[in-house]
Amino acid sequence: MKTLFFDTASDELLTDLISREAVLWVTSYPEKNIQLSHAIAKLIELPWRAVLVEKSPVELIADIDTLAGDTSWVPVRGYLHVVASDPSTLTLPRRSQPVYLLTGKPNAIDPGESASLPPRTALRRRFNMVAHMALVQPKRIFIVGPSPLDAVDDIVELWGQGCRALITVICGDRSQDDAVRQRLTPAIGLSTVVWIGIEEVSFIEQVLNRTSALLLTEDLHIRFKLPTGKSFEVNLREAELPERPLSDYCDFIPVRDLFPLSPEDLTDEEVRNFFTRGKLSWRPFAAGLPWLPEQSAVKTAIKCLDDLLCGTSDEGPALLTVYSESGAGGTTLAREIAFAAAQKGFIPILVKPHTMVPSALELAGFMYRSLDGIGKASGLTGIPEHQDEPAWLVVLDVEHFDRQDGDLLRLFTDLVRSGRKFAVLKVMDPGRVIEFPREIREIELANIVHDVDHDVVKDLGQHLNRFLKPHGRDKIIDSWLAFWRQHRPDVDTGLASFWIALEFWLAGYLDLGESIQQWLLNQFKDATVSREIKQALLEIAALSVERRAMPESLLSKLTIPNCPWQQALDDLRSSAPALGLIRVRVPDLGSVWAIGHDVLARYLINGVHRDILFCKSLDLPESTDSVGFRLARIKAICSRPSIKDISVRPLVLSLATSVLKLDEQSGSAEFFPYWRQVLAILDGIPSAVREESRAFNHHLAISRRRICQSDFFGATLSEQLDLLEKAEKEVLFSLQRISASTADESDLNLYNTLALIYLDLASYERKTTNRREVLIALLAKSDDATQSALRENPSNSYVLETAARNLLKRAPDLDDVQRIRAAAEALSYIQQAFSLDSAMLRRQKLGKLAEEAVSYLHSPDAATQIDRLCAQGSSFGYMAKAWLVIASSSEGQQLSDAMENLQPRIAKEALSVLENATQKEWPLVRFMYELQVASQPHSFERQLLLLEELSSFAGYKISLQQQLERAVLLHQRGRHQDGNKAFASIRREAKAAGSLLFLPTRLRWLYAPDGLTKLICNAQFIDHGVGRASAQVRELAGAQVPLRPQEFGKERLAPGERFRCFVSFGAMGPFLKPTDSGTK
Amino acid sequence: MSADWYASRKGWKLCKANLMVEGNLDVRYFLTANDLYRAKHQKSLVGLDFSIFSAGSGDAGGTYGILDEFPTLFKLVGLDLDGNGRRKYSVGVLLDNDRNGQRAASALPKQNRSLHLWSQIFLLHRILPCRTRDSLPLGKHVESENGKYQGLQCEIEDLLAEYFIDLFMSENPRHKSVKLKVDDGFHVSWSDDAKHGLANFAGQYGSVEDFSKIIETLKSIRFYFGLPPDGVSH
Repeated sequence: MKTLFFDTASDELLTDLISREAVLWVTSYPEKNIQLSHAIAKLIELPWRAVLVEKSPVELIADIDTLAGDTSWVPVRGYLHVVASDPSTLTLPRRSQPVYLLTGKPNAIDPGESASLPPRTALRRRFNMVAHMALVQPKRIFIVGPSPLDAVDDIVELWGQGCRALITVICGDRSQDDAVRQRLTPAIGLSTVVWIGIEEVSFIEQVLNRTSALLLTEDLHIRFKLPTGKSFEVNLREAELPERPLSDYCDFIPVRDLFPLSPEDLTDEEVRNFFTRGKLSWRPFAAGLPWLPEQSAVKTAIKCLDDLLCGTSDEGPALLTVYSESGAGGTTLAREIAFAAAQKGFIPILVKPHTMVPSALELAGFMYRSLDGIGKASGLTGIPEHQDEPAWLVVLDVEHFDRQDGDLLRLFTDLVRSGRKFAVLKVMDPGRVIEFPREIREIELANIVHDVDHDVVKDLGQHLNRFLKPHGRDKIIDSWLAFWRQHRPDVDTGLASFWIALEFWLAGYLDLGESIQQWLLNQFKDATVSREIKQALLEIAALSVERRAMPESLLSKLTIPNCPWQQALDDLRSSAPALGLIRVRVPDLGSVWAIGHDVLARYLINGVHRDILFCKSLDLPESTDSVGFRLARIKAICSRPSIKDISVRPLVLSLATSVLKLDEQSGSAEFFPYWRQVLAILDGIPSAVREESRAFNHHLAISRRRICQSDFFGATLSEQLDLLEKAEKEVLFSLQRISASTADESDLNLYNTLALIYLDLASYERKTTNRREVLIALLAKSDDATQSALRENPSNSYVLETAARNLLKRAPDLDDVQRIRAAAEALSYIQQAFSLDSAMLRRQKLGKLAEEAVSYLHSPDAATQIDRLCAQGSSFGYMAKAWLVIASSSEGQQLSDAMENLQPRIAKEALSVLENATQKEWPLVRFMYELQVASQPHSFERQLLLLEELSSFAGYKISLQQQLERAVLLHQRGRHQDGNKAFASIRREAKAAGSLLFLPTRLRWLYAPDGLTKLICNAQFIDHGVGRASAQVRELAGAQVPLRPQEFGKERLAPGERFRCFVSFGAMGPFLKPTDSGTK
Repeated sequence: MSADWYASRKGWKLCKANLMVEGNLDVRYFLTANDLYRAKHQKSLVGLDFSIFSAGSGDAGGTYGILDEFPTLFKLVGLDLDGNGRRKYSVGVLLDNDRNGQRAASALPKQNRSLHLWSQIFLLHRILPCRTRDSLPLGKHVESENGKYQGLQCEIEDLLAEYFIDLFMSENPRHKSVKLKVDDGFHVSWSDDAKHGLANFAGQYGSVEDFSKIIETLKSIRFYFGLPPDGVSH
């Protein structure tokens, strides 16, 4: 180990400090040195990750208390927390700066903080403080003070525990260097220690002077536009919570980055960085470097934001989607849209790569807190009213909520409930298309692919040449076309990678026609780093393929070289930059590492696993294929003790819920051949996770079930039984032993899966020992679980499907009459599920289930049994008859087709059958309502009567969606006061339940009594002074209904002004519209 | 390996290029066409570099089977790389040009946005031109060249020679079917029984000439996959 002596702190050291990567360790110093004490107090104020103070004289404590009033650095590091007692049970805010007093506090009031604890207690306190410091994973430790040896022993001990950091000593007495090195050299593997050999006070003055200038750059001035079209600037930093700042998770586009640049303004390095995914810079965007095949995506997004801002659309927030093949430029397009939006005065919030998505509460809270500054900046008194607020754009990349559709929908729904004006822009994997519920307005902005044609390449070449020419790197058109021919997706090319290859080519890494995989492999093999580092990179790659980042704390203990992982991986980044290794600091987790692109990670894994000699040199056993190789890396990660740490819990949960889930849609079919190994890995996850997470247990149970559903996986019968029994236990454990929470799996989903597991067990029993009593018991359990799920939500499509399956599974064991009854009841569930789902495959699956049910109605003696049921007055007899009418109309086509395109004539015929029923139970009435709507969409009176009848059944809870339809129908029938009350109740319930509601087209407008012509209403404007503009509508019994004056061609209406209007309905109630939009 | 494993479990043999079709009868027609072609030209259109298999049998086939199976196979195949980082296989799907086929052609891209009509999704037409492999112009060529059929639906049986169909109908009057005719194209709605009967009949008596349109279809699809359209020698 060498000591490098300096007289001043380098920029690199200060960067570590300012970026909160450093820990300060203050050694003991003479108490009488008041000047040093004051200086140290000021040094402590800077944004360290943590501070440890060896001895804390009264003066120092007093100085820290005094300086605590200065909040200059608070936005950067949160508040100071002086900790003098044992911190083993201490929880600090996400952003905060702990100051650990290692020997306690003189004159402490709390005995635990005392400087004179019994020796063992004092020692324990010290150990726990030092251990706490290790959790923050500093990049560098600054040891400041005249006695650096104070810190050395503790640092050596931390090193032994796997904590690695660079060391910088600030001490005017250079003669202590030998002693320090002698203690450090045998224990730690650093090649150098930096020693700033000047007086501590001088060093502190230097640092304070240089960092104070940097403080100014911490403001976050962004541009925003109001509906009036005027733009202003506001410092959004003031809206951040010091202890939980949104900027931990999100990026913004400051005003200073918005000014246009020309191609010549970009340096060659900036152009190269853009193509090699270096640090995010907005300059290439300002210069127009990103190439867009067409501007429509940007234009559509801006139009949507404009509509939101000005309220010219009553459709509310939108989910904007960009589908992009891996590496085809989805991220770049999303950033381009964000940049264009920022230029126009909308406020983009870009969630950082590989960072957790902040909750809707955090996002909405930030938007709300910003309103204060926005109001002041735009000269308003107080915060702006809703209609005057700016519009926000929340940008999520492909890895955010990857394969976690439910979380994406929850974020969106919760943001809608917050009432802010926003759109979410999400980059989507084209292979994981979400069928968004109809309540969510999805606008697909683009679908970017690698397969581009000849003309596009010419255009692309001409565009990029403008940026390459100033650096002498432009290419002739023939070169662009030759490159395209080599790399366009084809039967003989690699996985879709035209754009990736282009990036490599433009960065100068790749020659024309060279294989990216081979090139990457060579880079990796030639990198001059140790075997352990290469092994780690392959583990990072295995997770990167799954778009997951590797927490540094999950890497193995590094022995060669014996240095911090960060330094080791930084060395690898320098020697092989094209591997695209990136590091992100994630709150609550520390550093995470990933390969910038999943395609590159896949190439690397594929190349390495095939190179058997190289694998041997890395001590990696052979694998049959690259998937097995990846799985072995994931297994190695999961076997580390740190896998149980709470900080890595999201990654561990995602193993069960998506990465290793044995499911084509939400998991990965790639791991199917390895299902036994996959389950072994998940079974090996520490019990701490399984005892606390419903989601982990639930998704593991789903994977186990999946294996038993067909012979496809080749599980033996005994394996199937074992899997199903384990799945049952996991779901029961989750229901009975783990409390429900909004962030975890719901009872609804667990009961649904439980019912299906019992159905699978019943099928197993039927095909093996077929013991009747066991079968009956299992079907009864399935029935119980189904009923529990239905109680949780009777309108969930999957639960309704389970209810139908449950009935049909029991049908063979029932007597003839009961079988018909079960089939008719099952059909009523299927029909409801059908009306809730629009995806073709799902509808076809439900159609097949319906065909199974109808087959019972067509069985030889069925007609007699149906008549018998009708004679008994059973609703299900009539429902069976009605279904036969529908089924007869599907001849020559699938039943799902007949259900999807239910002809009014058929619906009417089926309805007339039901009307003959003498006793009406709620399934029959609900079926009648659906048929009534299908046969006569505008028969509002009859529809209302049926819904009223439905809501009068004691055992039936009318759903929120049905309540909404009833509320509109009340208005349609002139019962406006009841309608207004119903809407008020729906608004309350929808907010509490977090539901988004959908209004069918037939109920969008208030119609005249003919049910066909929109009613022209008389309204009188009400002047509230503040709040949303509204008017009293005579035809709605004087109800006050909101409107947008701009839609009526005016900035504002005069108080009492009368006007004519239409009334439209939305999920939250009526809304006034001008009469110029057609009467039909 | 995952794609191979998946395919083998489903009973599919993977070649360099692969085509999933709706049913086993489609496979039978294509294989018969290949046998006839090979006997005449000593080249194979199917079997060496090109594999054709159905999504499933009976209820598991048809557009339901395609929607259920094809996206998963497509995804797995896209990730299976050889030693040079090249895809080992490519896959496409051929759908009947009837209502269900057209709906499936629209539904597939909703399951995977990387799937595009005339790129991986093909609709059976009487004429499949080989002027380009780029999906947009190809779609336009298909549309214009088949315009004379005025949207007449097309299943594989409609590609057999017309006199051959007439012969089958006259010899099997129990399979009552109506033949719709537009220009030189025709469409017959067969019952399931009749379809099987016709397939047997064609297998027994069909000649290269009777199968010429099916052979041309095979050549076109091979062209779209980037394979030599006229086949490969053993």
